[in-house]
Amino acid sequence: MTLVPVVHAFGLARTAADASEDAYAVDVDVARFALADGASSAWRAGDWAAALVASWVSTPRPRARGGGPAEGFARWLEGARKAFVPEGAAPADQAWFATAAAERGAHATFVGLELTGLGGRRPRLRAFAVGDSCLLHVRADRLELATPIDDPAAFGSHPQLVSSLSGSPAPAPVVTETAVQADDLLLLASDALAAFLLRLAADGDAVWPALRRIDTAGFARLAGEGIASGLLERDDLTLVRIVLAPAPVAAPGGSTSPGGSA
Amino acid sequence: MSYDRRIDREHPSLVLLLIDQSGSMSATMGSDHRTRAQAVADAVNGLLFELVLRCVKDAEEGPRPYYDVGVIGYSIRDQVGPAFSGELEGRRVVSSVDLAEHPLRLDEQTNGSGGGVRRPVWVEPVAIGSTPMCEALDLAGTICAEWIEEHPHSFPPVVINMTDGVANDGDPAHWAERLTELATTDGRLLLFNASISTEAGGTIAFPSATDELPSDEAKALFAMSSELPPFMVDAAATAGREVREGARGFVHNADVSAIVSFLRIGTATVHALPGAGA
Repeated sequence: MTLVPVVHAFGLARTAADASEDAYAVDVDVARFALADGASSAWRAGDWAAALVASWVSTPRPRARGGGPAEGFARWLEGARKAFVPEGAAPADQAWFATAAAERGAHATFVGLELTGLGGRRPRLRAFAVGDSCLLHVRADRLELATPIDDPAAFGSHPQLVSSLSGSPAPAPVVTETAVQADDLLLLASDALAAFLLRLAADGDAVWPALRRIDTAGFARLAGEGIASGLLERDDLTLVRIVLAPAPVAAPGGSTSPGGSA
Repeated sequence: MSYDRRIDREHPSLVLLLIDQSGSMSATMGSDHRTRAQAVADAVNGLLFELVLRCVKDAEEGPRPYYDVGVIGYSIRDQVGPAFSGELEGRRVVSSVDLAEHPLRLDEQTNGSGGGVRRPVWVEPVAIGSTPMCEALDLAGTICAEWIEEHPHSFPPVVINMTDGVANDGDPAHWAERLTELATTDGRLLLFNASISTEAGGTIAFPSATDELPSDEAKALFAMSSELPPFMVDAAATAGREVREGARGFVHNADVSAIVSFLRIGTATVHALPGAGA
């Protein structure tokens, strides 16, 4: 059986005054997906988050040149960094604070997902996560795994971050691999949203079936109610929903933008 | 009262620094060879640099007004007031935009790879007179009360007092208590205190009980200090500090590195950069 990722994405900015510094990217053709959350006090955080996810979905699998997953991740990251800030790009006459901020670099948390074997007998997922952007894997309305954090109380205020500075040490990603099957629900969620969803699930709410059906209006309603109840932190919120649907005939063409709303 | 308000343009944060500029601040800080006044001025300038950088989102836009900042010097009674020099002289509170646009000067320094970098200076070292700490805390109360009226839903003001002695104009506990009664809807004002190193070794950072402290003066400053909110405990732990439950924003006998670390942890944000905000 061939599986086809059916993708929808939803997003809300923390305030109306500033654009969300979360970013996501999807390429169904190559079954690669990513979400990044720009650090709120960092230079070009949203731009770096967008560059990271775009690079992830457009780059071949990290292990393509040999080595373990962490080495492949480090190689991919260095390429993303060099593409983000081309050498010699900063003008010499820019203000002292712009120079100093650029020297410090941009920072973001990141989760990248790749699916393999979707047309074969052993489809699998592999996720690379740094910080507190999360992958949640749901099967038959039960949470199979949450990575890199599975406890809503474990989300802190100082997550590990991916720096844009070329040559700086690459953070060791949390790498997770497991089998997937038809009708599995895969969710990429930014930190506050992931913590909220895990808390709802821990409290016995039927959050996973609700997320299978949720639309843009429903997502806004869920977020609003969560913030009003105090269970959801007011933050940029992004959710990428991937349902592994059995393909009736052949897989449809891919797209770099999800078939949903954001 | 949860200390979880994030800083943004609609909800800026106030950081108010109180600097003891008494004559004893001219003593050197052990092996560092700088005077206490110079070490504190360097740490304050470093913190202001850090606060400006937290507000820079891209080169074209310039810094955003996320922070309001005041630096109050105290050394001569009835003359306690702003410590800024240059264009900002005389101003009690300035925004991060003002800081970015009006440093006193830019010093050329060498970075770790041997290249040149420009580092801003806003505050000069001063060491003269005595320690009118009560007057400084009183002025801080006036400044913070006015600021809270304009920003009732922001993260509450953070007041950081740095001294190498004891108040000689009364009991500062009374003024500290008045100060920490101020609050926004997000929490009570946070008052943190640092006693600057007067002897080699023996720095005690973020204690949680008075029995960890060696003197009545240290215990008095501890008692004046607010408990760290959970995310600052997190920031302290990230910075490698051992912090117990109930830890207060107080450092005893702070050397240069302890002052710098104390300022960063005391001004950490709900989400901060590693090595920058925490």
